[in-house]
Amino acid sequence: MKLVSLIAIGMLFSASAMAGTKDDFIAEVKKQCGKDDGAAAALATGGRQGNVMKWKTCTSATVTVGDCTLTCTDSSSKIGG
Amino acid sequence: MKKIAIAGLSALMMTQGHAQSLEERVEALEYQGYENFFKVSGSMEMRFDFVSRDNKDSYTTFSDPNAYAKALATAAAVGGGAAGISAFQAAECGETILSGAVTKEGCSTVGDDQQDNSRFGRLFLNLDVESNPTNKLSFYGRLSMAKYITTLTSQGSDPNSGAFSDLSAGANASDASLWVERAFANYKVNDDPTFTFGRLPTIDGAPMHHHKAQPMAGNYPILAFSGIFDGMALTQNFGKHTARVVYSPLSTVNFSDSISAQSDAAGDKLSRMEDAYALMYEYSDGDVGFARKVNVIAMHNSIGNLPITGTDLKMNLQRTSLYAEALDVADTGVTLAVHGMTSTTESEGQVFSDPALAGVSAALPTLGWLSGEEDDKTTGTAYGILAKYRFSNGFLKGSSIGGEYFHGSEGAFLYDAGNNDPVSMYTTYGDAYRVFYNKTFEGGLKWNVQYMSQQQDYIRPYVGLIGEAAEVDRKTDFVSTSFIVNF
Repeated sequence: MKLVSLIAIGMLFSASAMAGTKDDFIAEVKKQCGKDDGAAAALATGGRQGNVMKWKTCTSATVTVGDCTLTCTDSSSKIGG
Repeated sequence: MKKIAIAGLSALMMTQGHAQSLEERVEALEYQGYENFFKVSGSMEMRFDFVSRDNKDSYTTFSDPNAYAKALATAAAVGGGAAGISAFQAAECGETILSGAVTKEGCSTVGDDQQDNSRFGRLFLNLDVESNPTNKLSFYGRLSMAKYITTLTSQGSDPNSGAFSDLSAGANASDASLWVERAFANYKVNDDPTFTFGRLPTIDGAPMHHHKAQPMAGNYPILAFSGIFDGMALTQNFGKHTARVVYSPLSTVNFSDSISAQSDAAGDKLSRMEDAYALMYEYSDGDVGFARKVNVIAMHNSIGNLPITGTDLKMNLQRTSLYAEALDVADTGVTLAVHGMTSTTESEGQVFSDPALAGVSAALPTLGWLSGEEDDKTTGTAYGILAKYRFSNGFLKGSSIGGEYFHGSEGAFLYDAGNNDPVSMYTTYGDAYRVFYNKTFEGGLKWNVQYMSQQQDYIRPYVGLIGEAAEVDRKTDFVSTSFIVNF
């Protein structure tokens, strides 16, 4: 019992401080393209030229990541951001 | 032994948890670093326009009513009253009469069957600034430059110096100056609503983003009000719905004296700041089923008691507008957008209201807002529709092609001074249509080409909005091509 509770505490300590931008991207892929966690995470390719930054920089009306087309919003063009 | 094992296991758990947290923190820092690189961001467009205008019936407009009135008064004084006035009225704009004593200036005439062609190149630059000092506060800014390509000489008045020019500062081609086009801060009051103040991101709104294959680049649709407004706003989100109220008063400035009371030409007190506000409702839905996304913006804009310095002319304007778009309808790649507005313009007084003009007032037209009368109320409507198709495979992949139609009625208040087009489709008193094509190359270079044709049925003599509408038959076409980069 003690072991189990210790394992549980250990897992709690590993609770993540994940990259916020990547989290936002995955949430958008799940919402806009109906993908599950695994598929959305697979699309979250890293690096400056990766899908996450392509979506974040939002320089065109749509961003195509794999078979998913995302719409992004330019916060600098919206009152309230 | 058990105790040691448990202690060892728990130590291992702690270490595993700590290392995982470090990796993820490093990843977060990496992304932050990438974003910092892109913080110096913006866009640039080099654009060439080939414009032709075919005007069937002659019309005259005022470029400087004061100069015109002064010249008329001089003609009356020099030419012996009525005779001088008659000579002035019979003369062409720019003609010198009465033995060289008077030039009929401050007006220009476009003649019967006058055809004009022009080509020019321009450069537009936006440098974007973003700062998020806390999780409650964000700041966005844009510095804009708009100029003609390598200008050696110029004439006429700079578009950034006249009345109303602050509404489109940095948007009209003049020179290599940088203008602050937007600068606003958002503060989250608890989690919602958001309080915003500054130079608001209102210009370059819908449906302009469709021509340029960009996300919506301004919050006010063009038919709501196409201009830059300084002010403050309160935004409240309700899931897919957003409600917003904007207070953006308008200033009448006297740089020589900012405190003493000001009077208009009739001697009435001139207010230094007049109220203007907007009420907005937005709806954005990515779950509609028949399209990838639907966006709707409904607005009511109100401008009260707006004066024009040097006259007793005042305006009260109410505009109600609706913009709706459906992106990627039924997965076909087709986007549809519709927009419309209705306006009520109340005009009081007129441009030629200086008491010194009393002697020649009979020879001067009455120039009121959208009217040839001193106190009038004018209503009108305008609407447009746009359809665009985005190619998602084949050799045209990354391109889109589209068409657009617009109609403005005679009594509508149409304003779009910040538009980059040589003539704005959205200020057509008549019908206009556009076809456009844009191609986004691998790596982000965009190429745009468009053809627009405008049939203008009515013209007003001063700034397109003041004076009685004259019936005209003027067709203006342009072909334009541009290279655009977003960085």
